[in-house]
Order: sequence, then C-alpha cells, then structure tokens
Amino acid sequence: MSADDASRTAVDRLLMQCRLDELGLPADDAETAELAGAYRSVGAQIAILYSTAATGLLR
Amino acid sequence: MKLPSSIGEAAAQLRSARLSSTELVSACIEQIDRHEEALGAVVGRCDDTAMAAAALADRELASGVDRGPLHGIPIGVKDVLATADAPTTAQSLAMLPGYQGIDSAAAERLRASGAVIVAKAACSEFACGTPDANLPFRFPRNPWDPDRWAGGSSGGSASGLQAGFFLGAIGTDTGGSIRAPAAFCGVTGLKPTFGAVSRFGCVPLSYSMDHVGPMARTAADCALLLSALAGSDARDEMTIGRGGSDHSAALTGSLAGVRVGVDAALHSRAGVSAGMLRLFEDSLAVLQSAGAEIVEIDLPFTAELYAATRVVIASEAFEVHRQNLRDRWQEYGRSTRLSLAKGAFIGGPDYVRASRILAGCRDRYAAVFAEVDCVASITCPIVACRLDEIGTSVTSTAPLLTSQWNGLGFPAVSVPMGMHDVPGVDGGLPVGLQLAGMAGEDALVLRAADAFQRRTEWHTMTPSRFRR
Repeated sequence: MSADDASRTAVDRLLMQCRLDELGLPADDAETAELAGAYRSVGAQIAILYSTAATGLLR
Repeated sequence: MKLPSSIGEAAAQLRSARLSSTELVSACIEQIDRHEEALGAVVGRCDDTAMAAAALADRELASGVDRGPLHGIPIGVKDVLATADAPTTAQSLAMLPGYQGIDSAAAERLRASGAVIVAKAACSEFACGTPDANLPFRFPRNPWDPDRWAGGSSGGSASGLQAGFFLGAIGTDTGGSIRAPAAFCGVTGLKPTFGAVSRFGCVPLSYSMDHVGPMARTAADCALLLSALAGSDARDEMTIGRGGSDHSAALTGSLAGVRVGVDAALHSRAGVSAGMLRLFEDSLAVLQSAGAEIVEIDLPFTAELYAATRVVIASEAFEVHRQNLRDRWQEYGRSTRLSLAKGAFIGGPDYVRASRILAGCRDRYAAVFAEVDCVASITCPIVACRLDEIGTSVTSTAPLLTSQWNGLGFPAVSVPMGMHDVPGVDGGLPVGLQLAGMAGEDALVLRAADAFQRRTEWHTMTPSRFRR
C-alpha cells in the first residue's frame, strides 16, 4: 500500500468511526475497518451517478 | 403411486380423484421428515394446520367446491412473509415487530385459492445476510450438493422445491433473491412487475425494490401462482389500481412473432464462463425453434442502472433497520449488520440522484422494449458456491445480472437451462436462463419461459436422492 493509500484508508476509517458514533451504531474496530472498505465501493457507485453519462439520464 | 412433481399435474390428479390433497400434503411432510436435516430448507413447520387444510380441501372438492388450480396444493412460504399459524422470524434474533399472528397478503391469497401452506422456508437473515454459523438458524443447502449454498435470499424456497417439500413456493426479490436461488437449485422463479403483488405482511428490505413472487418447478406453475397472488391491495399503495389476470392463458407454447434481445457485452462484463455461454447459446437456439427471433441489442446505461439500484437498496434497507441496528446491533448476524450499515454512508442527495437516474433508465429501457419483447441473459454469472466460500466476492457477483430489473421494476423469470461442469460435483450444477420484459408483461416472460420448458427437460431434473 502506498503512503497516499494508507493515508486515505486512515481518513476513511476516521470518517467511518465518526458517522457510526453519530448514529449510535456500536461497531467494533474490525467492523469499522470493514465498513471503511465498503464505503469505498459505495463511493464508487455514487461517483457513477454523477458521471457525464449519468447526467444525460436526468429528466 | 408416483407423486406429481408440478402443480398442474397435481391439480389434474386431484380432480380425477386419483390423488387426495391429504395424500399429497402427507407425502410432502414425509419428504421434509426424511431430508430436512440434510438441507435446512425449512425454518418452521405447519404440519397440523396443513393436514387440516388438506382435509378441508378434499371435502370441498368432493362436494363440488373448486377454488381453482391451487386448491389442495402444498406451498412453502419464505419466512419473511407473515403467516398466522406459524412464527415469522426473518431468520433473525433481531426480528422487527408486527409480523406475528397475521397473514401476509400473499398468505391470504394462497389460502383463499385453497392452497395449503406446509412450511416456512428458510432464507437469508432479513433477506440480505449470508449464512452465519453464529446464529441459531440453519441455512438452506443446495439439493445438488449439500455442501453448497442454495443461494440468497429465498434459498429455502428453492431448495425445498427441488427436494419435493412443496410443489410451489413464495419468495421475495430485492436484487435477485428469487431468481438467483432458482438458478442455483434448478427451479423456476419469477420476479413480477413491481406492484403486481402486495407486500403487506412482508418484512421489508427496500421500499421501492422489494417484490413478492412465485417459485415452482415450471413457468406454467409460476403463472398459476401469480394469477392467485396478483391484484390490488389497499394495504400496499404500490398495488392500487392493479388488476389481477389469468397469466396461464398466454402460455401458447409458441414464440412466433416474439423478438428476444441479447446483449453479449453484458455477459463479458460479468465474467461469465465459456461453459455457461455455451449453455446460453443452446438456449437461444431453443427459443428460436419455438419461433422467436433473436436480436442483438446494446442495453443502455447498464453501469448507471446497476449503481443506482444498489445505492437505493442500501439506503432504503438502512432506513428500515436504522433504529433496530442501534438498539440490537449484536443480535444481527455479522454479515447482515455490516451489509445494512453500508446504507448509513449514503447521503440524502445521493439517494435522490439515484432515484432520478432510475426514472431516466425506465424511459430508456421502455425504448428498448419497443424494439424487442424480451431480453435474455444468464441469470447468475456463477454457480452455487461452497458454503465455506461465501464472501464479498460471491455476494457482489451473484446479483450482477439480476438487480437492474429490480431497479426498473420490470418482470424477470429464471428457468433452468443446463448443468455446468463443476469439479467434484457429479453431473454438475444448474445454471439459469433469465428472460425479462417490459413492466406489466409478466404473461409474456412466462410465455417465453414456458415455451422454452416445453422443448427442454432441465426443469424436470432432480437429484436422485430426492426423487419420489
């Protein structure tokens, strides 16, 4: 893992922890790390929704 | 006496008095007794009420009261659908309130049609988790190889059908949960048009993507079940104004004049194996022999449609479970709670964006269906995996070819189309052919599936140990 990737993973994990705390979801450390990974795949899907091609679908 | 394997066959035998519902239901209960330990397809049994209902069905038929083709037929109901005579667990220790002691709309309609509910079929936790050995529920195994998964989430419905526990089953489908297990187990399953079947009494996963639908050995049986299930229900506003209809009348056996669209790129993007592609090509030849015209098409916006569907499902599932997850986190299975929690990170604007993308996709796909009547594809790009192989790669791959039809709300049926060679599995494992149509064209996709099954025998295949 590059330094940039490691830094991004750490940031994702912190963001994840903040959101889980805000919602009161008692995920443990391993679950939080796993959700941080899932967050990236959800983020990739959301990015598709804002692509130029997707914009052409909006009424 | 050889017992019937399809609803149509059983209905004929019941009316010719060669078979009674009591005998048929008893045989199903015996089959459950014999094989349930190995399969885990049933989470709740209704032996006593089923036998009483079967006896009533026999008395009614003897006195000239005929409720139609489901009269006296044993049915399994997925355990996310409430039934008054058996607990509904959704296979979770964190079950949501409001589903005990009532009949779901599906159960009501089945009973009104004279059907006999024999069991609650096992499923994935809340129709979204994966088998979890830490939960006190057994998970459905595949009759073709009990070391493999029956698929999710209506796995018990598919596994129980293949094993002869019931002749018809009801499943639910939010991203492929009827069609994937149907493909894995070698049975037939239909996700109807959104709003065709009421979801009252169904534990929700995703408000705008959940569908209740039929599963059976044949498309003709699915048509009988759908005719009983479909119709308007004031308790599910998505069904209001929807009429029921006789879906069997459309099953002519001919596909003359039917254009079947095929997008080859869909399969290459999903990483389908060469063996599966060969089975698919053979299936297209069968459809052609029934009179269909095969048309090459490019399905539009597939990546956008898939992404929007997954974002909406994740958001809506988290909305359903948000408070319960906070209060009962540890009572959920690990894979279920993590899957549900993913929705916590999707913002409101992103959900709106996904919903708008779906609306746009419905327009674009309506244009596709002006050029073709059906779209054919492989149902799942993988065969049933071993239970110890279930993980993110399986759960993310299985719905690649199914969930877009949930996003659109269009009907899609899966029928067995062959056996795929798998090392160590004698005879291989089933593969499904998916046929999708325009919203409201449930009868057309069933007609195509039925025409296929009139010319093939894959749907009649059963592992030898379950033959009766």
